[in-house]
Amino acid sequence: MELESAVDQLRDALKILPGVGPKSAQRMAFHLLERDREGAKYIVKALSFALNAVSHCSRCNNFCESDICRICSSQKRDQSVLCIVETPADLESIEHAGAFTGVYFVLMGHLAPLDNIGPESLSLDKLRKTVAESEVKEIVLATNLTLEGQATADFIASLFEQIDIQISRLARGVPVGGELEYLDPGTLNQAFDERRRLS
Amino acid sequence: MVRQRIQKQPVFVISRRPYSETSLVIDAFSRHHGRISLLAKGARRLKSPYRGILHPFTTLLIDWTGKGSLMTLTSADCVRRPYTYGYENLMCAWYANELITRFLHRNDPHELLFDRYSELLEKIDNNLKIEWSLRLFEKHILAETGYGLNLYQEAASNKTIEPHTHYHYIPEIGLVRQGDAVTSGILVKGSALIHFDQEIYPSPEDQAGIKGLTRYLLNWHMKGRELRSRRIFREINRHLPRNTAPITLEKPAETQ
Repeated sequence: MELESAVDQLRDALKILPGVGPKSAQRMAFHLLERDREGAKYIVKALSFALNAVSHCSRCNNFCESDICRICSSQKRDQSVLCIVETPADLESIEHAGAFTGVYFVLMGHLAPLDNIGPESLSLDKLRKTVAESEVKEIVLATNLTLEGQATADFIASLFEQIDIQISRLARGVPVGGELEYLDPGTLNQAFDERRRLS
Repeated sequence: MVRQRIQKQPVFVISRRPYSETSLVIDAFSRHHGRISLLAKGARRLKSPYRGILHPFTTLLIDWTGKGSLMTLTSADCVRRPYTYGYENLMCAWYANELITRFLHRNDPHELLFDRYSELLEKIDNNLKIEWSLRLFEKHILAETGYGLNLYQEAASNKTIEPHTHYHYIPEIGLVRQGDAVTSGILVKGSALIHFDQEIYPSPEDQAGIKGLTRYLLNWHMKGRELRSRRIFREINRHLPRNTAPITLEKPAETQ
């Protein structure tokens, strides 16, 4: 009985992971117990270490292992431009592209009433504090171009509209290498609405 | 259960959530099939044909196949330009979507309600009587799901409603004239009931009465569970700068 309940508990615990249902959880549990106990110990150690070591940066809200993260404390970054993103993965993509040299704020989500995510889940008080305490001159809203992302961007813009800060948003339209014939109507409409003047 | 292949169905996406690495599970409102769940395989891939179109408030024509509670999307075409609302109007549209998810059962067609929903999205897009349109949508969703309101006569005597009299609306009973030894239900003025019944744009005072009535009835039917979009509305208003007008499901300056 003891063993059975321990296996059940492990199965339930693994179901916490996103995209893992009962079948996958069972497969993982049996694999770890039967084939890879060393691997299981490594997971336990890494998870426990990460839970103790990783917290949120007090400025940008990204995951970090000290009070202030590497990007926020870098002298090379332009502290006057703040890019607001939804998730750490978005931040990584922008960093990978190398297009942005300012600092970030990570919301850790977007407004989604049907999923019960409102402003209070988005660390907005911390965002206000970061903006108030730093010398930010421009906020770049780099939320996803989904309805939720755009609603989040609109809402954040309204939070700062009474402060003397330039607010911009990532451009929308035809992607690099995009062929018009294959573009979806939404993107094509946006591209026309936000067309750029050349002369 | 027979495996179905359904083609060219008008639908709206109500909500979507990621599934596995690259797919989406869509909760859609189909005109002829009601609320359905669909798996959109690979919809989050960079070159997916579904990319950019499987969003709420987009009119789609779709094909699907499968059986059971989760069917597989096989084709999707965008019929008209997607509605792109600012966050205030978006909240109203999201509220309508939440009503659909809370009140409609799966695979239960509501063609009239689908058309009403389509009209509602158009009105929100045009900033046209948004509050009033939401109230009517609330009435229609209650009627379509078997909780229709009798707004034109008293429950016991079948007497026609008088505009200057106040009535208690009691769920599952109907209207009882004020003063008839009733304390339950919600008190509404006759003129508000008449306007709501005949769908004639009411005065601001009557509109407030109608709002109180639908809110009371929705809460009653949801057995006290709160609508998430309402809670998010309150949170948003708490965060807005002090001298910004709060957003509500109703817009004081909306076009009439």
